[in-house]
This record gives sequence, C-alpha cells and structure tokens, in this order.
Amino acid sequence: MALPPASETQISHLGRLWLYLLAALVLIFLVAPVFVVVPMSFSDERYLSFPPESYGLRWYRNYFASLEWTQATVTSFKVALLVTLLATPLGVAAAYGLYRSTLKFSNTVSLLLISPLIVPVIIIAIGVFYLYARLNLVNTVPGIVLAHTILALPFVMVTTTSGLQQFDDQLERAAQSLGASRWMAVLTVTLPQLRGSIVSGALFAFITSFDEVVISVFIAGGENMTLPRRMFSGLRDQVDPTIAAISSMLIGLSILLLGLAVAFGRNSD
Amino acid sequence: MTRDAETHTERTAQAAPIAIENITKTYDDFHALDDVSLEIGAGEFLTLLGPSGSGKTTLLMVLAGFTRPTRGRILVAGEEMTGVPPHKRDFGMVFQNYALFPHMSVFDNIAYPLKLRRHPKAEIKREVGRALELVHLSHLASRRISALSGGQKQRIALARAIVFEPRVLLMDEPLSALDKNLREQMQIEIRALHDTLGITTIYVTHDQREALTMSDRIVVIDGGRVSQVDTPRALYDRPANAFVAGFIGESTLLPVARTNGGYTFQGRPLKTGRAVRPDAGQLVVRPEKLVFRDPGQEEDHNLFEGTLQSIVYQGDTLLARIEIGQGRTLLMRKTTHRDVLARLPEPGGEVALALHADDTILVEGGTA
Amino acid sequence: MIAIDEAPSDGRRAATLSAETREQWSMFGLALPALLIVGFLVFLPVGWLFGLSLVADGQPSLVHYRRLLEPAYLSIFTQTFQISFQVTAMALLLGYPLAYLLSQIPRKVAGLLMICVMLPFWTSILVRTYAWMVLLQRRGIINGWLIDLGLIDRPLSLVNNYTGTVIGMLHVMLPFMILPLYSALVKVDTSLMRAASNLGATPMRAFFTVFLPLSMPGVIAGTLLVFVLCLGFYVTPALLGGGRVIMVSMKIQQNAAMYFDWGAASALGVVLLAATALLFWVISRVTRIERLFGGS
Repeated sequence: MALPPASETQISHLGRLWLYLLAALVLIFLVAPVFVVVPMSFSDERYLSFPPESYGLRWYRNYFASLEWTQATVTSFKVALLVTLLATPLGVAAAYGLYRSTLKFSNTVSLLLISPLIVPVIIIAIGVFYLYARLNLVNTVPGIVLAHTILALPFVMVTTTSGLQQFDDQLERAAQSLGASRWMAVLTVTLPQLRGSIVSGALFAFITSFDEVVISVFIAGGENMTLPRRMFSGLRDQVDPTIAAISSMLIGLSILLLGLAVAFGRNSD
Repeated sequence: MTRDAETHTERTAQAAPIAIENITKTYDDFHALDDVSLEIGAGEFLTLLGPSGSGKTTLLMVLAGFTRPTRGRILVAGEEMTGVPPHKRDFGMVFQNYALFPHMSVFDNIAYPLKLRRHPKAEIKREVGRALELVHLSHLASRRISALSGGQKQRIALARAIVFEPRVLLMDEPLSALDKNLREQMQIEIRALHDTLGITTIYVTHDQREALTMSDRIVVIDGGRVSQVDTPRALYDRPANAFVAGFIGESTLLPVARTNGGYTFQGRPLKTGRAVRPDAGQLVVRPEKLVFRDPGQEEDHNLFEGTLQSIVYQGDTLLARIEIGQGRTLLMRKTTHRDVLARLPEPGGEVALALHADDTILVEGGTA
Repeated sequence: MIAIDEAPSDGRRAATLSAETREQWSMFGLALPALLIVGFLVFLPVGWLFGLSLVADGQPSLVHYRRLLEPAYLSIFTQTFQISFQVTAMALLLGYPLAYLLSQIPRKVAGLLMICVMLPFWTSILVRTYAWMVLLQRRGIINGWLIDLGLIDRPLSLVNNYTGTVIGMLHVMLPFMILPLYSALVKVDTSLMRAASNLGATPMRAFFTVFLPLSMPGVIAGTLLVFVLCLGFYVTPALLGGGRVIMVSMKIQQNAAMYFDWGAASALGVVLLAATALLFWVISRVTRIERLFGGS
C-alpha cells in the first residue's frame, strides 16, 4: 500500500526528501550542544576532547569538592526560589487585573510590565548597577532577587494572560450567580483553571533567574556570586572542564523543568 | 399574569415578583436598553425574545447584576436590587455555554452554591441528590464535566442553578447549542420543571418557536425597547406592530389605503375584527389563516382572488404563492390533506381566497 | 408603576457609575506592586542614565553622542548590524523550512519535535555557548570531521572570532525565529493549497503564490524579533568572539564596568534602546508583542 501523499498539493514523501533532510539538520543543530556536553562531562582526562578517550566522574567530583562552585549553586537556587515566590503572585495578579481592567491605559501598563523582555538586558543591567551602587545593594541577595524578578515577571504575565484568553469568562460569572463574591470566584474557579499557565509561568520565572548572566555580571559577585556569574568568568578566562559537569547537570534541570511545564500544560486542558 | 402562575405563587413562598423600572443602559452614544419597564409576576415564566443585538441579553445581565444600568432600577419582591452585587442577589442562572466548572465533578458543580452558603455536608449531599433527580441524571454525580454530552451538561447547569432554591431563575439562550430534537425535548422538560418548582423564570431566546412553546408571556425586544408584551397566543394573533408581526411567524405585509372611517385594500373596504391603531398602513396576512373561499363568507371575511404561481410541497404542509394583481403576492399555507390538494388548481389557474375579519391585522407604516 | 422623580434617579446613577469605576481601579490596583518594582528598577534608572547621557562635566552637552560618530564607535555599530543581519537571515533560511514542516505534519509529532526546539530555549545560554566552544575549537569534532572527510587540510579557526560568534548566536536565535513562524504557519488554511492545486497550480507555484504570502506576518514578526534581540546581544559574542568581535552591548559593559564612563555608556544605551523601541514599534504593527513570547 502506498503512503498517503505528504501535502494537500499531493507531493509524494520522496519529493519532499530535501525538506525532511534540511529539517533534520536544523533539529540536530539545535540539540547538538546537549549531545556534546553530556558525554564529555564524563571524561576522565585532564584536557577535554570529544569523544573522550576514557570515562569517569572526575569533573563531577571536582565540582562537589569545590566550595566556590557549590556555594554559587546554593546562592543561585536560593535566589531563583525567592524570585519564583515573588514574581509568580505579582505577575499573576498583574496579568489578571490588567486583563479584566478596561481602563484606557491598562494596555500601556501591560506593555510597560513586559518591556524587560524587550529592552536589551545590558541596559537594564547598567541601570540596576547604577542604582544599586547608590543603595548599597550590589552583591546582596535582596538586590539580585529584585533585579531577577523584573526579568521573570513578563514570563509569568505572558503565560497567565494566555491562560486567561483561553478561560471562559462565563465561568466566573456563573460562580458569582451561584453566590460567590468576585474574589471567591477568582479563588475557586479562575485560579484553579489557570493552574497550568501559572505553573509554567513559575517554572519560567525559576529558570530565568537561575540562568541569568548579564545582570549578575554586574551585581552578583563577591560572597553572593551566582552560578552563571561564576561560569561566565570561568568561560571567559580559561575553560575549566568542571563546567562540562555543571552544564550536564543544568541540562538535566532544564529537561526536568521543561517536562514539568509540558505535563502541567497537558493537565490544564 | 396567567392563572397558572398565580397558583404557583400559593405553592412556593420563595417565588418573587420582579419590577423593572425605566432601565436604560448606554454605551457612549449607543442605547443598548432604552427606558425598559416590565412587571413580572411571582412564579411567571417570562421570555425575552428579540433578534441578536436587540438588548435582551443586556437586560438579563442587568437583572443578574453583571451590568449596571445607566438609569432605572430593579425591584425583587419590593426590594431594591439595582446596586446589589450578583452574588448577593440569590438568582439562579443558566448560561449559554452552560458554564460548568471543568475542574470539578458533576457533584461538586452542583454542590458549589451550597458550599458557599455553608450548608452542612449531609444536607449538601441530600440537596444535590434531589437536584440530580429532578433532571434525571442521578447516575452521573461523579462524572467529569468533559465526559458529559451537550444535553447532560444542559441539565447539570439547570440543576446547579436551582439547587440553592433561588428566588428567580435566569436563562440565557440555554438551548442554543443543542440540536433540534434535543432542544424540543428540553423545552418541554424545562417548562415542566418550572411548573414543579414555581420559580419566577426569565428566559432569553432568539427562537420564536421556543418562546411560543414555553412562555407564560413573551416580551419582544427590538433596538433596546420593548416592542410588545403579551401571551404567546395574543402575540401571534394580535401583533402590535410590523416588527412583531414580521419577527414572529410568517406573514405577508400589504399596504392599505385609509378612507374616511375605514381602510381599503385594492379598492375593497377591509373588515377588521378589532379596533385599529390610528397610524395603521399595512395589512398582515398569516399564510395559514387564508382559506379557500366558500359561499356566504362575504359577511365576515375579506376576499382576495388571483393566479396561483407556484406550490412548494414541504411534506406536512405546502406553501402556495398567489399573485393578486398590482405585483402583490399572497402566501398561503395548507396541510397536504387530499381535500386541500383537490381544491388547488394547476399553477396558472385562478384561486379565490378569504380571510376572516378577526384574523385581519393592521399595523403601522407603509402607506400606499 | 411607581413614579420616580428625577433627582434620586440621578443620584443613583452617580453611585452605580462610581461603583463601576471603583471596580475598574481595584482591578488595575492588582498590577500596582509589579508596576512599582519595574518602575523602580527599570524606568527610574534608565531615565537617570538618559539624563547622564546629556551631561558632561556638570553641563548639558551632546558630547557623548558626538563621540559615537567617531570611527571606533562607527565600526562597532557596523559590526553589530552586520552580525545581526547575517544571523537573522540565516535563522530565517533555516527556521522557515523547519517551521513549515512542523506546521504540515500531525500535531502530535510536531509537538514532540517542538521539544527539540524548546530544549535549547530552556537550557542556560552559558551551557550552549560552552558546547559551541568545545565543538568549534581547533581540535574539536567539527574540524575533526572536516579533515576526515578530506574537505580541509588544516583545522579552521571557527571560534574566538566572527564565525564562532555568528554560529553561537544563530543557535540561540533559531527558537525565537521558529516559534512565531510556527504559530503563523499553522494558522494558514491548508485547504487553500488544495484549492490552488485544483485551479491548476503546481505544488511549487501553489506554495509561492498562496502559502508564502499568507505566512508573511509570521515571517516579519520573527525576523524583526530576532534582529532586535541580536542588536542587544551580550553573552555569546563576549564568550565566542575571543575579543575580536565587539558589539554595542559589550562596549556598554566596558564603558560602565571598566572605565566607569557613565556618560558614554548611557549615550550608547540610549541609541540601542531607541533602535530596539523603533523595531518593536514596527513589530507591534504586525502582531501582538505578547504573542512572540509564547502567548496566544
């Protein structure tokens, strides 16, 4: 039996072979770093090459033995967690309020709030650095958390707004007609329905902070150096193979978070 | 108010009369509702009927408290409701797309208003059970909403809206998403449920047949204004204006001329059964009210004759198009009984028709 | 019917309207905490820096801007534009076929492949940059393969230069191109292709005369987005350029953090911000900004 044609214009799959090949190459290009870094991190040699000639956990041991690396990791986790806890409620509240508000300038405000996605990070970074220098907030956890929060907020807002767009507004009205006050209706009907969007927004917030480099280069040094800041310095000066081990673990974390986002995205349908 | 509704009032204490007074809602320059006043009896089934954009849904939203009127007020059992938020009104509402909460089971959906009112657990269970029984879906309590059919969702939405014994039940085109057979079945069920509970019900629809089938009274709304309020029969048989005549049922509109003391159509004086409004200018002819002329009808019938142009056979009925001169045509609807067919000539043949004076309706407009 | 006289009815009108307004404001109030933080950390300092860019030695002056016209700065602008342009063009050329294919295959398969697009999106930019350092280095696998295939004799220098920067940036930017393209392409009604075919168009012609024009909003949105993100790029050129590539954002960082020359850093920042704002204004004519970042 012949395969069904590949398109509405009845092109055969063979006639499209070039398209499949090209798409496959692009996909390989996209995931290549993952496939390189992970095996390399298990190399047992002093200098990294690919593929490694012998395998071992040398660089993982190196990582866990280094106070510098582990401390930076702990700081990053702490900061990312605080950012998530701050950005998620703020972002959800702002997205909901601006979505419901019909005031003329609410669209403008909405654009202002997602502008950190648009404004080049370097500009935000020097601005924050300039401000923090005057407030003695450079290299402090609250300072880093606040700065990362403004980068994370837009992601929470965008996912929440997109959830709201799929949400049937009638449901909130139905809840009110059944005796729920506005806030009760939001709490018992709207938010549970937005759960998927909120969770993926929160995951975005976490990873945004956890991976943030540019602002951290300016304001996350010293005692409270974050992991990306230390990696950045490490990569710029002289490549430390420990970074391969760290990268593999970060890829694991990304896959975990992406998996969670996908799973929750499914659930919310 | 109908006699039926009065007996309901005696049966259930909670059914409440509603007064809508001079409600106006404007958006910028647009009048969505223009000075609407209505009295709705306790336990009455009232339908708001109108084309889309007529303001019927806006009026329902004003009643439910989701839209604040620009002017006017709403009284329920004599109590002012205009500024009361929706959740404190105690009105049940059935929404167009059911608006069932997808993250809750059928049971939790129906229990929701009871939980908000802090009913004890055992009582909630009992009341939800009773509501499910009323809509004949007791076996579905633990289902997910997504696993229900359209008709089932409709019934669950109804059960949820009545479970807390609201004073008023509002329904916003609740059957529009169902197919024809199910819709007709649900019309009868909803009406039966209303008769059992005796709850004051305001029902919004754009489907005239649905309105005629279910209502005690119908409010025809057009352009934000009340066009006519009447029982289904009065509305059909005595439309107050050309809009109502055209919107409800089929009709042919023919221009009439005013002479001193009366009206004529094509030179013949018109016999009318009732007082005629002073600005009358059009004759409304319902296709099924036309009869083949029999001898002795001159006394109380208006007479027409013309040429049969075409017959459209529609199964149970047929629609005949008859040219009566001056480019005017009449539509006549008849059953397809053999006696009827026997009296119809071939297309091109002559037909003589009569319309009883009581069925002769004159409305405003279009002087010829 | 109860007669209502005019005065209380008007009073009621005022009361209900103000309740409506109050609700509007309380909804808006939900956005205030977020607005406060963003205002304090973004708009206040950026405004401040804008002020600094117009002052030299305590006097209002355009000297910082005039300096941007010097050859050293002009070559930075040229390089930034050139890289951004090349990366954008390559991202479009590679991203369109993939997005097209994804839009034509069953949604389930597309969803799985989309994970390959999303994975780099979720992976730290440092990890990806590091991987390219390793892949592209002199003794790296790319050079190894090219030599084994007999295409070259000596290893090419692919990293710590312009080439490395472009490859690394392309990798970061591709998802930003593919996502808006994909969401535009799936919306194109494929029955139109059937119609074109029925009317006598060859598959190629149907694609170029029907599908491609209908996908233009996505193309424009993706292209402008990638271009504008390239303009402000920092991490990848800083790490893969090996000091041979200097983009605007790197110069801003140097001026601010190394020389503490806030006037120069600010003036450069203002120019970058203006270019960004202009391009985003163009994008907003084509599509909704939120949509670019996965909103629907």
